[in-house]
Amino acid sequence: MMQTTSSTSGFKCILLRILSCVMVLVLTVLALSGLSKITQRKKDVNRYAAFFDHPGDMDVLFMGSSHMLNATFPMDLWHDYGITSYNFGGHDNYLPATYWVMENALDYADPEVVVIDCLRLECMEKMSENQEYLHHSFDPFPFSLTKARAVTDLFRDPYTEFDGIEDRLEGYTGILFPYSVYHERWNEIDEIDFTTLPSFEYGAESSVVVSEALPTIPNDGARLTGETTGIRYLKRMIEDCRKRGIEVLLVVMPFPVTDENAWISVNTAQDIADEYGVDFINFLDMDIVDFSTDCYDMDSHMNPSGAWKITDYLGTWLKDRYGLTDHRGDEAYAAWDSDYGLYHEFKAIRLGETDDLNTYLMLLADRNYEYEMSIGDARIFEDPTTLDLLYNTGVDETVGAGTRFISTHGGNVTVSDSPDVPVTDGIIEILVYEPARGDELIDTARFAIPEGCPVINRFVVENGNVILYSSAQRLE
Amino acid sequence: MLFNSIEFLFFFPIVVLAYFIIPKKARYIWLLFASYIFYMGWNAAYALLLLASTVVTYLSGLLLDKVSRSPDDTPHRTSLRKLIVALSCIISLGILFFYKYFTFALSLVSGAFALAGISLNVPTFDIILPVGISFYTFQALSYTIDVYRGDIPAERNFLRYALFVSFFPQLVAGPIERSRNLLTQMQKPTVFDFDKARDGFLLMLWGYFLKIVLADRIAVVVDTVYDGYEAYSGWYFVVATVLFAIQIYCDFSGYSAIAIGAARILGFDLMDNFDAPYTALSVAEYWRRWHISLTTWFKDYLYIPLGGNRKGRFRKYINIMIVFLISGLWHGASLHFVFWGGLNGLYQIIGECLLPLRTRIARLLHLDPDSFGYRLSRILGTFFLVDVAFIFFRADRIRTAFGILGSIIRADNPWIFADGSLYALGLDEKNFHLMLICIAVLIAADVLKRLGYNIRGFIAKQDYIFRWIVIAASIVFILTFGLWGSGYDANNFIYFRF
Repeated sequence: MMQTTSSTSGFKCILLRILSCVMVLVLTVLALSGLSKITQRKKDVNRYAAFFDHPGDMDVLFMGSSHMLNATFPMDLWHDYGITSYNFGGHDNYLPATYWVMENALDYADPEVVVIDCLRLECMEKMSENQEYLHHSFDPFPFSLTKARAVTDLFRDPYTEFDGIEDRLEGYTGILFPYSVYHERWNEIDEIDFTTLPSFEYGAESSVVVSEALPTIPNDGARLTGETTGIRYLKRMIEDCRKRGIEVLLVVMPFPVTDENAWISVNTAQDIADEYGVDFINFLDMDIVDFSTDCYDMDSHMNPSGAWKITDYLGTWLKDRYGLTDHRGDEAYAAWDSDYGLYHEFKAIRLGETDDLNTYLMLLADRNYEYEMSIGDARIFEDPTTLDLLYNTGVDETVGAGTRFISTHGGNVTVSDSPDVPVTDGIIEILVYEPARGDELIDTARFAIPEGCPVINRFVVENGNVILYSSAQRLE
Repeated sequence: MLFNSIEFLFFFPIVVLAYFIIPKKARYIWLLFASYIFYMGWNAAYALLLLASTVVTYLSGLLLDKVSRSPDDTPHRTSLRKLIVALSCIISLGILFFYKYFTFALSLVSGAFALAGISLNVPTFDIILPVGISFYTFQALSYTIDVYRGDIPAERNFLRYALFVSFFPQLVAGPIERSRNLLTQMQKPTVFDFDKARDGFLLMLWGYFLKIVLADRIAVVVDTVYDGYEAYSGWYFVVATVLFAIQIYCDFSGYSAIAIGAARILGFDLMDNFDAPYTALSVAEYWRRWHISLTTWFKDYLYIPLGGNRKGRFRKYINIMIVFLISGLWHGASLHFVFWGGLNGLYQIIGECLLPLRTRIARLLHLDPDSFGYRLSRILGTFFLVDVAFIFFRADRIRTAFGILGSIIRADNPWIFADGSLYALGLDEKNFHLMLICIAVLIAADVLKRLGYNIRGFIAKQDYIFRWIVIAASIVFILTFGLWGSGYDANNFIYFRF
């Protein structure tokens, strides 16, 4: 009897100790997961927040590198075509990283089409040397088996150089348990860290400047001969989408090609599309964008002017090719309209804060805007970039100094030299409206070339790119 | 592998789990394997040095044992035993000398010739210091000497002996264990003891607090000032020097706490290495509380064999100076470490010489030696002396240290405490304040320890919920405020260099 009591109390003691360990673990994990949410960089969390608000709505997911990130605007697709989409492009995402971003996104969404940017097919590495970029792409996804598989696969890469096992392990845990990185933000925490402010651009990222573009080198038709890591993962994406019944559209975004590897990648992408019988759009073969007005940097990315053109083309394509439903007016999608309202405000604020005439003109390429402009200083026509940007908004050579005109996209330009419509000497005045919102006045801006400014062009080198600012600056 | 690395967070639980799962007879082999994996995390090739040191001292132990057992009790046998122990010491210390002191010795020789006006073309060697070599060499040597003295029998099981030399918790920065304590514990397999493991875990948490929350944070300020000393003066050096005393204490005692805690989880009891040293009333007492395993090693294997205090006062002082100068050299192959050691030796000699005078003055002034004020003044005075010596430890050379000392004496910029200058030393205001709060916690813990309170024992006595919350909160606190993880270049524990 004594023995039974003693063994029972021994068993109880063991149970209690196990419970103690479990409770400490549970309390620790709960506290850490709460703190992890607080300390995480909100820029990343916010970027996917709108996706997690209604993942089931998505008809289209855009996947790829920064070329995709900068060049497709889901909110404009919604407004102009009623297509629901999200942009999952990521800075310096190689195709394996893109594959795993897609897998994670597909845990939550069930789209009809996935659009994949086919850059970097020639790469053997699975991810960028800069792990910061992986954080941008993966941090917003909650911990899950898919995320663990993603990180395990990406960090098991013989082609990526790690500084010893410690570096590999730290990178691995850093992505899987972001608290190991962001706990150091404890001293930066403020009110913003306790609120979620979803991305107005639905994952996309506008890069708002006009850059000089390098000349594109000719395509000699070369192709990859063996199977690279990039090819393997692109094929995995196509096969996985097919298994799930999702249409695949492969694309190559437009950019000034300065590296022959890029052409090799583009040509190989065409072959893969043919091999699998999936749709393929090579924007490099099309005359849709104008590198003199649409580049954000010298050899890579689209600014909003270029992005609107790409988005518009893709909208028509997606609608015609896949028969995607126009959800506009559908009560179930009312949240998209209110989110577009926020996007509209975001664009208006951005326009209102733009001080440089060239950048301002680039933003006027927005097909939802109309503007009225009076030109009181002929010198702005001496800047070829300004001229290109002006024509890029839909006007032609009929406008000139001393005129006041109204431009609507589609080439409808009304020029007036009536004395009733004053043109102020030395001033370029612009009024921007949005017809679809009852001719709402979006912004009023007055630009002038500062006195004594000897040059018309104001080129500035930023991060190795020549940014084409105008000498005409906004007046307060 | 560092204790504060992510690798160790994976390594340690796996080692512990496997250790208690595998058959008892194989446990020490598993620990030996894990210890070598742990060591090879730094430089796999240098595991051969560890092995060489192990083989030499193991064989010397066996030979000493064999000679001792021989029936021939002649002076020849005594000589042979001395020869064996001498050879073991020469080989072990020879390896240590080559890897740690060879370049330094060459520079001294070259310097000496230069003083005599002779230019010597000294070849340069790119020798990487094997991590923890001073620690495991001393531990292995203590075994040989113990066997020679007949304090312990020779260990016949090579793998078990190899584990004694390479036991991973204390392999690279101590405590420097004695064979009498650790090797005997390794004779039989340990069993899992929940209370002991919990105590060990709490000790590890305390160690991590000291290391990654305090020491690494303080290091930012100290490194800013000392590494760019030309740009600083006066009170900056006072602040940095006081902080360095705390940094090195937290760094080293933090490592020791993690080591002792980790060993305790595995069922082994290692010796205590620090006992609230900055509460010491004298420099002599400070050395009884600071790096106890090394101080007692020098006492047992150097000071006493030299004659200790048995051969008169003058000889005693000579012995103290020898021990401290060698202790300084043990800490680093550089003259500023030797100077630091010598200064600490001088403190003790002068302190002892002045003791009668100090006692007389105290009596004349009617000072109560047990009063709080008197004791506090002695504690502060001891800290002042120890901290002044640390200037020579932290500075990169003796001349720099004297320059810093001179600048402290001329200190004329007290406004740095009021105008925010202290927040420009690498830590922003919030981090600086957090550091001060954590230092206050450390002082409180050491005072309680000095007064005989056992904080871990107190926690263990509380009810379950209290314990759960305290342990979970401690983990979360350390993980939040500690400097760790990617983006953070884990500072090596300062004592690894030694």
